[in-house]
Order: sequence, then C-alpha cells, then structure tokens
Amino acid sequence: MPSTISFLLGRKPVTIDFCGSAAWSPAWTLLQYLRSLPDRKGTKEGCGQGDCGACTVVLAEPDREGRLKYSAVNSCLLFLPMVHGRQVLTVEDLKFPDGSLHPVQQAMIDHYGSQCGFCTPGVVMTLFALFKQKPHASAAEIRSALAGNLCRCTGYQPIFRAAQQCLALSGPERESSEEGSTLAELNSIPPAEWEWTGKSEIYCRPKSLEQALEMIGRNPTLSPVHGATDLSLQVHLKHNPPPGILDLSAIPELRASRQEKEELILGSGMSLSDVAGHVRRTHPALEEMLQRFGSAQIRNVATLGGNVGTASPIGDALPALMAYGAAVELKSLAGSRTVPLSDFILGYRRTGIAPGEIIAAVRLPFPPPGARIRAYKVSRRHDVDISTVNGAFRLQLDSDGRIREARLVFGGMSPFTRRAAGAEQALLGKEWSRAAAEEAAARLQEDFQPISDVRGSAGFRRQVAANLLLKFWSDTRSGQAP
Amino acid sequence: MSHYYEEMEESFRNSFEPAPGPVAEAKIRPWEKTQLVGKGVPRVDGYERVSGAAQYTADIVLPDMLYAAILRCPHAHAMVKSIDTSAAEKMPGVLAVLSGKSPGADLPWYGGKAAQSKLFDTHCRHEGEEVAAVAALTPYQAADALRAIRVEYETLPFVLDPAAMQPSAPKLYEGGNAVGEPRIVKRGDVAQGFAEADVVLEETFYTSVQMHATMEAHGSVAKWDGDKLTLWDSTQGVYDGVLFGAARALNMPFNKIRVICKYMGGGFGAKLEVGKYSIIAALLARKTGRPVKAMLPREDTFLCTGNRPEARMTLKAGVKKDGTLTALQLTNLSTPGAYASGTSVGYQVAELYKCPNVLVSESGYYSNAGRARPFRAPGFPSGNWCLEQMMDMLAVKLGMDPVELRLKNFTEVSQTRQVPYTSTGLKECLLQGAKAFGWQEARAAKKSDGPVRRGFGMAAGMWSGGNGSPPYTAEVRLFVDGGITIKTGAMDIGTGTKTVACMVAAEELGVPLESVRIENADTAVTPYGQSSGGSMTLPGLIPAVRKGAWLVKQQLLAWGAEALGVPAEDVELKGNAIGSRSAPDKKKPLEELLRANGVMDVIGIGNRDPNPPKKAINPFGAHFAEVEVNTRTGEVRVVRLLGANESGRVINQKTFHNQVFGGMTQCLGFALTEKRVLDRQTGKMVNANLHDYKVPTALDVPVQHQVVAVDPQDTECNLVGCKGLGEPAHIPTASAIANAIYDAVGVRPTHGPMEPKTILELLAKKKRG
Ligand SMILES: Cc1cc2nc3c(=O)[nH]c(=O)nc-3n(C[C@H](O)[C@H](O)[C@H](O)COP(=O)(O)OP(=O)(O)OC[C@H]3O[C@@H](n4cnc5c(N)ncnc54)[C@H](O)[C@@H]3O)c2cc1C
Ligand code: FES
Ligand code: FES
Repeated sequence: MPSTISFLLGRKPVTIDFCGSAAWSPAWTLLQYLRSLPDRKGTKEGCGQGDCGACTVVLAEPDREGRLKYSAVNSCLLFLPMVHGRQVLTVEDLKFPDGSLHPVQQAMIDHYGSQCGFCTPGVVMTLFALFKQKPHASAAEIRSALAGNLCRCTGYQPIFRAAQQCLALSGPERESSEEGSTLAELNSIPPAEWEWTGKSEIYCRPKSLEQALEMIGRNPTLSPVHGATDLSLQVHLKHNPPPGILDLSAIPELRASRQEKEELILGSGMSLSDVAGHVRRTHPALEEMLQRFGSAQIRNVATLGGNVGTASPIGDALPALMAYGAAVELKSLAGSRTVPLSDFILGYRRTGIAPGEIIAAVRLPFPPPGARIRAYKVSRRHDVDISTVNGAFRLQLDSDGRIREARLVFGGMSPFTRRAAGAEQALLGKEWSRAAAEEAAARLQEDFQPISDVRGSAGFRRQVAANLLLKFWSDTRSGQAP
Repeated sequence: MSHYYEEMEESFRNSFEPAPGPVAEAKIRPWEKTQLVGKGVPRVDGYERVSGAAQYTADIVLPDMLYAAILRCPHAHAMVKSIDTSAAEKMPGVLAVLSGKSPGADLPWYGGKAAQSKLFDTHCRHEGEEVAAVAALTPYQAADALRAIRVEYETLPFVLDPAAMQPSAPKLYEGGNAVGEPRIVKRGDVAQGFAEADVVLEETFYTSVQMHATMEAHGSVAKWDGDKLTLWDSTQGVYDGVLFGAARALNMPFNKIRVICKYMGGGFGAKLEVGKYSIIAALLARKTGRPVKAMLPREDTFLCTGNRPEARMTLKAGVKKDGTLTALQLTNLSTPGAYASGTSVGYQVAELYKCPNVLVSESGYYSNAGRARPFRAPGFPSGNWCLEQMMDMLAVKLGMDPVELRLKNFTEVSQTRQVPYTSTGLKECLLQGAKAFGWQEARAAKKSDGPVRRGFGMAAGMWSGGNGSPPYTAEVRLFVDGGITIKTGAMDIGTGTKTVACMVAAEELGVPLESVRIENADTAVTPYGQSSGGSMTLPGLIPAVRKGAWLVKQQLLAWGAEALGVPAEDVELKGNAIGSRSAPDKKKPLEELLRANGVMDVIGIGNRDPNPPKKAINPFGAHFAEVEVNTRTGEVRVVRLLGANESGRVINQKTFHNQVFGGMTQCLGFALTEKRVLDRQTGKMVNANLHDYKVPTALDVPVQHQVVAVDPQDTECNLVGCKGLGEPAHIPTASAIANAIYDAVGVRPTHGPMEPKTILELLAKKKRG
C-alpha cells in the first residue's frame, strides 16, 4: 500500500512519501515538518502542546457548499498525514507576490500589535482565519478567537484594535482570485488510504468506515484518533505512543451529522466548533460549554468522539451530553450497538469500548419542552483551561411545579464524570426553590469525595459544586426563562 | 560589569549618589517644538515581525549544525554519585557528551568569585539542575540519548519553606540556609511615629512565585571559527549578559567572542545573564568542531531560568486622623531558591510617600527550588501589594477617599535619598487617572447585592530605576545621500527601542523617519550598550542617540557655514544637500561638501552624559480597576483597567500605550492566576508548562483598558527628558485589583494570587464571622 500524502503548502503542491523518506514519519506533527523547512521558520514553537498558539497555521479545505473553509489550528498537535488534501497556510503565505502585506499584517503594524513578536505569526494566522471566515466578528468573537494565542507582551488590546481595523475592511479580497484554482487543485487530490509500519509504530489512514473497521478488526491494539489533541500529547510529550494509530480524520461519514425525529446524530469526527454550530438552537447548554472548551484552535480540530473516548474526569462535553441523555453509537466488524453515555463511561479514562470497536456517533435526544438545562465550568482562567469542576443539570417539573426528573452531572468531583444520585433523589417531588437547591447541595457531600490537585483543593471543589447548584437555581427558578 | 539589578539592593541600602561628572554639553538644549517625537509611530521593524521574516535564535540553522539537549536532575535535592555516558555515546547521531568531568566543563557558576555552584555540579540543589549534555544530529536523537545516560543519585531531604531557617533543616550549604544578614533600612524612629498616630494597623501579606513565561524559550547557537566564537543568543544583553559572562566562563578576550541578538521573544528579566545553555553549546561546538544549537524545552525554562520570588510581608502603618502617615514598618521573609538573588521588596515602603519614620527589615533563606531572577520591577509588585492594600485599609478606617489619602502624603522629595525628584507626575497620575476613570462617580454608585458584586479600586506606585545612566554609546552616521544609520549595542526586546532611537535621530537632524536605519545588538559591530533592564534602555540610550545626531549636525553646520558663507544657525540639511534658510538658492550637495572635507560620511559618537547631581530620577504611576466578583464561584473578572503613568517625555504614543497595556496585563496575571506550585511531597514543580501555569489570555483582560500618559515636561533628567516605563507600568495593577475586590465584597485578599478558592474561603470566613 502506498503511504503518500499530498497537500498544498501555500501555493505549492507537496507530496511526501513516508516509505521513501527516512526523515519524516507519519506521527510527526505538522509543526515539526514546517520547522524542518528552510523557508517556514515563521511558524513558532512556544509549548508544543496546544497551549500557546505560537504555532498557529491555517488549514483551508472545501466545505459542504464547495467553498474554501479556513480554520486556525495548532500545528504542534496535528499529525502530518492529517493535512492530506488540504491547503496549509503559514505566515509566509499571506503577503502578496510584490511583497506588500496582507491587511491583517498591516493592521498589526498600524496598531503596534507586536512587541517581542514571537507570538505574532500565530496571532496573524488566527486573525487571517477570522478575516476569511467571520468578517463581521463582534468584539467578543474576536477575543474568543484570540484566546488560544498567548501573548506575554502586548496585553492584547493592540491586537484587538488590529483585528477591528482589518475586519472592518470590505471590498474584494485579493486572494479570492486564487481561491478557484486552489479549490480545483485540492479537489484533484484523491483521498488516500494507507497503512504504514515503521520501526516501532504503525499508522493507518482509512478513507472509509468499512476500511477503518476492517483495520481495527484485524489489529485491535490500534488507537483510533480524530483530532489528535489528546493523543498527540501522549506521543510527543509523554513519549508514550500507542502501539498503533488509526487516523479516522479522512472518513467523511464520521464528520457528518444527521437529524432524526427525536434526536440529532453527530458523527464522532465532527469538530467541536462544527458541533457547536449544529446544536446552538437545540441544545444551548452544550453549545455554551463548547464555547469554553480549549481554544478556537483546539475546537477546530478536537472532536466529540475524542472527548468521549478520552473519558477524562474533567471532559467538558461529558456533563452536558449526559444531561441531554446522549448515547454512544459503537461500530465494529460485528455490527453496531448503542450505549447510554452514562453507562459507557466506566472509570478514570476508561470506557466500555470493546476491542475492535470505534465510536461512530453520538446520539443526542432533543430535550422535551420545559426542561431546564444548564451547564457550567469553573476553571482558574476563563479560557484555554481545563475545568476544576464542571457540571450540567437538568430538571423536569410537573404541572404543579414539583420536580419530576432531576439529572445532576458533575465532572472533576470523582475519577469520572457521573451523576449525583443522592442529590437527585433529594430533589424529586419538591418544588424548585432555594431550599430544595440547598438541600441537594448538602447531599453532594455524600455523593462525591473529590481530591486535591493543582487545579483546586477538595474543599474548594465541594464548595464550588454546591454553589453551582445554587447558581443553577437562580438561573432557572420560576420566572426565569426555562 | 555588574548589572543594575544586582546592585539594586546595594543602592537601596546606601541610597547612592551618582558621582558628579562633566556636565552635559551646554549647547544641547531641550527641544522646544518637535515634529516627530511625541507622535504615535509604528515600529520600524514591523514588516519583519508580522511577515515571519524576523529571525529569532530558535530559527537559526547553520550548515552542519548539531542539536544539544541537557540532562537535568529529577530530584529536589540530590548528590550525583556517578554518571555513565557510554551507552549514550554510542547512540545513533550522537557526536558528543558533556559532563562535569569533561575537559573545560569544570566551571564555577552562580555568584562570580564566591561561586555557589558549577556548570555541572554534583550537588543538585533543586529539580532541574544540569547534570550532563549531549550534541546530536537531530533534536530527537539528542533527547533519546539523554535517556540513555545512567546517573546514580543519592537523594537528600529537601526544604521549600521557612522551616529552612531551623537548625534541623536540610542544609543547602555548609554555612546553613540563611542568605546573608538581614537588610535593614531605617529612617527616624518608628516607635515614636506609632505613638504619634491616631490609627495604627498591621497586616500580613503574601505573594506567590511568579514565572517569567517568555514566549520564546531560552537558547543559544554557538559556532567556532578557529579561536573565535559566535553566539546567537536569546538575551536581554549582548554585552553585560552574554559577552562578558561567556568571556569570563571560557577565559577568552572580549573581541574574540561575537554575540548577536536581533530579535528575541521576551525576557522580562529572565534573560539578563549568560545561560548555562550558552556555555554548554559553546563547549559542545568546540568538542565537535560543528555549530551547536541549545534551545531549552518549555519545561526547563520553568525549572531553571528564574522567577519572581515569593514574599511574606508584615506591614504596620501609623496615620493621623487627617491622613498624614507617621510611621511604616515592614518585615519581609523570602527565598531566592537555591542560589543567591535579590528578594528585597521594601523600596516603595520607604520611598513612595512622605513619611518621617520608616523601618524595613528583610531576610532570606535558601530552599530547594529554582532560583529567583529579576522579574519586571523586581520586588515592586510585591512591595506594592502590601503597601497599597495597607493604604486602602487606612483610607477605609479613616473614612477617607483612597485617592485623597495618597495625595495627602504626596512628596516631591525622594524620601530615601532626601534630594528632590527632577520631576514627579504622581499627583497628576492620581488626579488625571481618577478623572478619566470616573473614580468618584464609580465609588459613589450604589452596589448591587446580587451574587455578582462590582467594586472599584486603585493603587499608586513608583520605580527605583527608570533613570538610565552612562555608559551607553550610539554611533550616528550620515551618508552622502542624506541617509542615517544608527549603531548601538542596546537591545530591542520588543519595547520599541529601535523605533524610538530612529525617531530621536530623525528629530534632531530634521530628516524623515524613513531616512533612518538602525543596527543593534551585535558585539562585533555595534558599540557598547547596557542590558535591557531596569527600564533604563530608553533613558540610557536615547540621550546618547540624540547626542550622536547632534554632533553630526554640528559638524555639518560648521562645514556648511564655511562652504556657503553663511552663519551656522542659517544652515539646514535638506535631503542630500545642505542649504541656507535665508537664501534658498545657496546650497551644496552633501557629497561635494563631505569630499571637500576628506570624508564620505559624517559620524557622531554619542556618549551618554551623567545624570544631574543631587537629584532623583524616578517614574511614577497610578492604576485603577473595576472588577466583578462572583460570590458563588469566587471568580473575579476585571472589567476595566486604567493606567495613568508618568515616565517623562512621551516619545512615541504607541510604544507608551503598549508598555502600559502589557505591563498591567502581566500584573493582572500576578494578581489572579499566576503561581508556581511545588509538590510538598517531592519538591518538584507540578505546573511547569503553559497549560497549568496560567498567564492571562485575550479573555482574561478587561474589555475596557485605558491609558493616560502624563508628561511632566522634565528638562532636567537627561537630554531628551524621558524616563523608563516598562516596569512602572507593571507595578500597582495587582494592588488596584485587590482593592477593588475589597470594595466589591468586603474581604481583603492579602494572599496572592486571588484565585477563586481564596475568595470563596475569605467569603466563607466572613460569613462565619
Ligand atoms: C490545549 C488543550 C486544551 C484542551 N482543553 C480542553 C477543555 O477545555 N475541555 C476538555 O474537555 N478537554 C480539553 N482538552 C482535551 C482534548 O482536546 C479533548 O478531550 C478533545 O475532545 C479530544 O478530541 P480529539 O478528537 O482531539 O481526540 P483524539 O486525541 O483524537 O482522541 C482522544 C482519545 O479518544 C480516543 N478516540 C478518539 N476517537 C475515537 C473513536 N472514534 N472511537 C474510539 N475512541 C476514540 C482516542 O483513542 C484517544 O484515546 C484540551 C486539550 C488541549 C491540548
Ligand atoms: S506550540 Fe504552543 S500551541 Fe503549539
Ligand atoms: S509580542 Fe511578545 S509574546 Fe506577544
């Protein structure tokens, strides 16, 4: 089988054959590749683990309508084969052939958006993606887009101003003349599937679900991966690579969603920013949680399947998914099965997945009218931070105002995300009052025995968890919108 | 050449007086009206920075270059019993392995003559100490080879906290863990001052260890050509830091080492000295005969390149009913970690306000943790944290407006040195800042009693540096076509030095900014400039640039007057010619004029003049904050900040604003999220990465951030009238936020950072009563 990838690096087509190349292995990150080139040193490494955004590049690929879609991503997390069929744009690609600067770059100069300048190429690329995708971004959207780019010098205000200046520009963008040919070139790159076996690693890249199931059926030790925001840290930071990688990012079925009468079916490979767009109206608590998930760069590649597959005790999508009653659709050569998420998560980073299975989709029921659902995240820093405690809560009241059903899901309070059985019990049959919320909050002390770590002490976790219930009460008490 | 920072504590104690030197050239007068200076001008190197063309140390790749990796001690305290590098030496791609036993590697380190350690010391006093190093063809091979080095450690008990002062504590040094004698600053008689006071308050305060977290890691690329060494280094000082340090370590003459740093990704004090990595790169390069690059991984920068030390402070203050301070007494106990470094925080307590009776007593102890280094205004945000919260407490107690209380104790005379300031904008910062912030209205507005409370706070501050001093040399060269090139060894660490230097030369010579170019920070070609620190680059270098440009002008005017037959005052430079102002038809091409005088360029060597005697030169500021505190989760949101700063003349509005935005934001991190966390069980740092160590993001900074630039029209401090800004812009922000939190929820966060859990604990305590 071939093990070749093809992509556009700026305007130049590039093909890499991992078999023929001693230099690059498929588990290399895009950043490692870029920085090994003589003319791509603009992309910087600040942390190598998705936390600083200095390595931000933009990926362009055709969207469903056949237009180019631009996403800012952390090149330090992406496995190199994941750029197959896409255009990789780095800071060197923005200026025009005559050397004049892109409006984004010019705005950064005009507003003094760069001091030491080390974060600047990454900031420029984040702004470029915004310029392309969201020309009318609000001030809040600008800040949110930039939250994944740490800058230790400028205090960000000059960068916000630069963003406002370049986003205010209207009129024809000079690139659009090239976008047609870029699209044509990208469309001419056929999907590639391959298996590569190196000295100590295996990298498989199926292009269809069947192939994927066949590969993992044959070799159940493979680790499925979508966005690699979790797995790539294991490989490159912890130096603890899995025996093999099954890269699912090229499978269109897994990146699609569909709507049925009672539920939304979200492909496990949909990016979180994609998911957020889909659930905005139907599942607003999930959407809100996703807005605070990692950074824009992380949300552009990290997936729902990956968050469920990680089963981290502080996985941010999990409480909201459980509150909405989500189920996981698993597939293998043997067939398919659906398991409620709360039964699927079994322990600390442990799920009920069977050998040879992959997570194909997350089924997300529409909440019944009148359900009161909210999700919360408490972290030390507002964005690009994992939770100290997170939670999602759902109440269903009877016509007489008594609580018929309660789901109180917490993360960060025990080794895995789970419901607070005692507190839920305490609410049933009660009116939704402050006293009821307080009583449930008191019961949490028996439901959970949290631990102390860098992100917070056990006592703090207990108190925050209790307070979140009070916050839930004041956000949803009668008179407030459900 | 010891740097200003090293001397700060010394000067604090002795309240030094600069030696009176030859007075500045009498003929250079302050500019009356300026064309360019004072405007907001974009950076001269903006193109390179936004296009990806700027080359940082991390980007340097040379033919045949090898990559170094450094093996670090994984224990908080250990002795290296043995090292076996034989397996590593045989690894693919490995060309050299270095340890303390290697020839030339047995070098004393930390602390000059009385060195406390070695380049590779067998006694590892904190996690991350250097044990060995390798050079290999790729960074991955180098990292793999490290894992093949076998080290036998004897782990030792460690100590992280003040228990280090007890006789039974594990010892870092034979002589015990005390860092020298307590440092005392005394003025008047505090006992008497407290006796005279109507109100006396005392409170303890604590600030945590803050990390520099520069975006570019530390690193160096070393290349030998025969007996000559070139180092590309990510540094704040090509001269004081790297050149002099490397020459000492390698026992080489200065002119045989060339240090270059055109772009560097942030320092904040962590890149003021030559790094072990620079010398390791040089030694490995010598051993292999090939260039070697040593960039530190992110984790290592957290463990080994410095931090702002913690401070345990107790401050007692006495005040009369009318707000007059009568006495201030501060004790501070801190640790620089395993090796000596400044930990003093008391300067502002003794200096910021008029107060006749002051007693500051500070001591330190060694502990098994990474060593402190200067960090943007070393000691000042911590000292400010206690002083300015105390002022707020006094104002509450007296029922006085906090701004009013500060105005009451305003002084135009340096309290520690008892000489007047050349200028002090503190009063104007307080007044203009309060006005622009809407301070009175904000404080008067009724507070919500919902779960989210709003509060307003302010704090004042000053900085002991920011004056700038000799030596500094700027070479200003005029080409015959009218173009100018400035050369200086000074750094531009992002602050905009290059831009401001070009502006000042353009101003003095009356040429457009585009005609001026600057080359800096290359010890083989640019004249001496101090390290960038102490907020002294601008006030140090810029007067020298003006002087150099002025000398060029004087030469031109003299030759021009002679050639045109007009008085020198009538001569002006116009593009590539000189002409007469009064008779526009009288002119001469520069080339002709210069050739006639036997040259093809005119060079002015501007040396920095001494500062005026018997005067204090200091920058000031007052910061204002509005916060929202969520009483359920303890989360604090800073919704508005205003920085009113006075740093002499504002040369470039944009650089000025930028320093204030950036400085305040870094202090916002100090206030809310930033702290090093050491595991009590192992002594190891648990948040040595940018995920768990929290610097502020775009979502943590306030939606409204305003800057008020106060210009006192200082004509005395130097030829340009400017003082430094980078550090003063950073000092009072955390205190202003703390005071705003108190205003919002009535609890005082004396321990920083003010994390949600701290706020919740305080609120719970208040509720319990
Ligand atoms: C900077 C940064 C910030 C982050 N912030 C957050 C945050 O705020 N909140 C949060 O919850 N997480 C956060 N994470 C963690 C991570 O991004 C999420 O868990 C994300 O959802 C993982 O998705 P992915 O597609 O990248 O997963 P991958 O890395 O591709 O996979 C993760 C795990 O799931 C398994 N897996 C993936 N897909 C499948 C599948 N189809 N079938 C079976 N198993 C599968 C993999 O084998 C692997 O073990 C952050 C990570 C980084 C680097
Ligand atoms: S290098 Fe920091 S996010 Fe990639
Ligand atoms: S400009 Fe220095 S990190 Fe952003």
